[in-house]
Amino acid sequence: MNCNEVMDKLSLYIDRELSDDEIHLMEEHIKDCENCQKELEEYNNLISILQNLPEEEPPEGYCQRLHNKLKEANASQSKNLKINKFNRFKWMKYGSIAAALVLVFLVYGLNNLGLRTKNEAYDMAQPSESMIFPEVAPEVMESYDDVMSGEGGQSFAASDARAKISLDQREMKIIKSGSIYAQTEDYHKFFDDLSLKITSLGGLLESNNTEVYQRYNDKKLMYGNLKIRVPQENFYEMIGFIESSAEVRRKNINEIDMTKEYYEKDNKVKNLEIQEQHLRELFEKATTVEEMLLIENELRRIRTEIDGLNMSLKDIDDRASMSTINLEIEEVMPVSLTLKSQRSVLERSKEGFINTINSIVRTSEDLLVKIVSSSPILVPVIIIAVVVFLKIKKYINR
Amino acid sequence: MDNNERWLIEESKKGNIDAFEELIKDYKKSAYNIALRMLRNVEDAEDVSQEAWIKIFKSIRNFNMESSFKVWMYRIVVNTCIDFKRKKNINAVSIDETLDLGSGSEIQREIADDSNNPDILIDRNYDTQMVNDAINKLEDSFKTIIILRDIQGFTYKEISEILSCNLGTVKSRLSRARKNLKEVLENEMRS
Repeated sequence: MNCNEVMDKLSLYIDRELSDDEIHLMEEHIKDCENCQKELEEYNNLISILQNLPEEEPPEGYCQRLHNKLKEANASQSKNLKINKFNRFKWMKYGSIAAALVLVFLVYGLNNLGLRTKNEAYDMAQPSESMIFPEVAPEVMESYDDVMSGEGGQSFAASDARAKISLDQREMKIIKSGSIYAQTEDYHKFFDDLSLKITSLGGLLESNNTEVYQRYNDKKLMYGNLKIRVPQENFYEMIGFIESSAEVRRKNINEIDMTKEYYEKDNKVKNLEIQEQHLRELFEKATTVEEMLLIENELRRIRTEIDGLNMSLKDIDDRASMSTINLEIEEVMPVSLTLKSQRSVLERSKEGFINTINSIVRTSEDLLVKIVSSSPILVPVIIIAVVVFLKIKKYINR
Repeated sequence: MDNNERWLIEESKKGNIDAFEELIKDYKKSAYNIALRMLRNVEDAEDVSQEAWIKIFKSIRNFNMESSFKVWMYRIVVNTCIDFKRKKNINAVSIDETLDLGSGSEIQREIADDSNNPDILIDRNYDTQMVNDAINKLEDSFKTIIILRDIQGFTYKEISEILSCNLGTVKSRLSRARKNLKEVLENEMRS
């Protein structure tokens, strides 16, 4: 170690902030170097003077003045705290008002929404009186080649041949369905007539759900939910019959053209069948177990696919050949009798009260459901809001 | 931190002035002296040290019990002094700075370097007054570190926490500060 290094480290040496090795090296040098010895001595001297510099006493009254200032600070701080508390209360007050307002708007909004959806349903039902039946545009057959990866010229040829099936040869697959809501004054008579008509048209009553929905004096008022299936060519005759024998309040008729989808699926099935046959041939030629397993697996896959497709084809066939009518029929009293007697004010207000309670319960249930369902978003948002709020508060306090 | 101190801090957090005064009883004098050394003026020292106490009292609620109260408190004292000086702009003359003589002419302050001249024999026994004067002539950062280390006797680690710097900085700054102080003293002696 040379003198410069020693000089540099003298300060740390005095404070014993060096490693043992370094101290040893320093001491070795200082022992032989007069200059550094002198320097060390001077430093030690200086530091001991510094350490022994007399401390000044704080001026008289220092503690008393500090005490007064502390009191002042304490007073202003507690005032601040009070202001803070007051602010917090104010915050809570305004916060709760805001929350209440939000709640009111929310409930109002929800109710409105509910009303609107009802209205919309009504609006949508309206035009069905003069229902425009969708025109079924003839679809141009597309060629369905390459449904399967060509396994040889044979299958290609086959798919080509199928693509040439002309439009005329194809049967239109149109699914007709209707739903009707009607009222009648004599349920049983209507029902008997209806049954006769269904039978004469070659249809069937698939389900019949009849109930007494109200009693009026001695008369039971009936309500029925019927599902009628008729051959598609007699669909409109059936509708006409219902319209003539009961008062139709809502009518909804749909025609869905499934032709394209049907033949697409049909083609697929045919292609798959060819592929299946091909695989069977291969299977016979197979020599190793591995090959056989592979082919068998493939065969099983194809079979499953064919079955699935056939099932939906059958379904389309069934639905296209037999149209479905959902009929809701409600028995009503003749107009003169249905006039309700004036109920007492008490009764009406009771009913209104119960309705209001019910709607409050329903709304709060809806609200609860909404809150719970949105909690994955709501909870983090609230946490973030609280954190931000605390941060801001802290910042303001500072 | 002993239990008594812990208890006094808890009480002070609640706004108990008596507990706070008890807590700072042992530190009052040294804090006042640090301020006096840094500000060189009795009134300023009192004002600033008391301002620091008020700050400590107000912010003791935020004090984290895990750290050392002593270090935390002195850090506030030192920072309050530094802030005050910065505001008042009464920086001591630094030997590194240039002197502005007005009308744009600046000269470098010249300090003769005779430390290695063997012909000059100086009586090395400095007296207290000389040392005080020499300290006052030091640059602020040097002065602060000399006060903390040599006069108040803080450890290197404590100083690094009070001044919020790392140990390496404390070591090198203290080394330079002492060297600087010694040079100033030698110059004084020679003149």
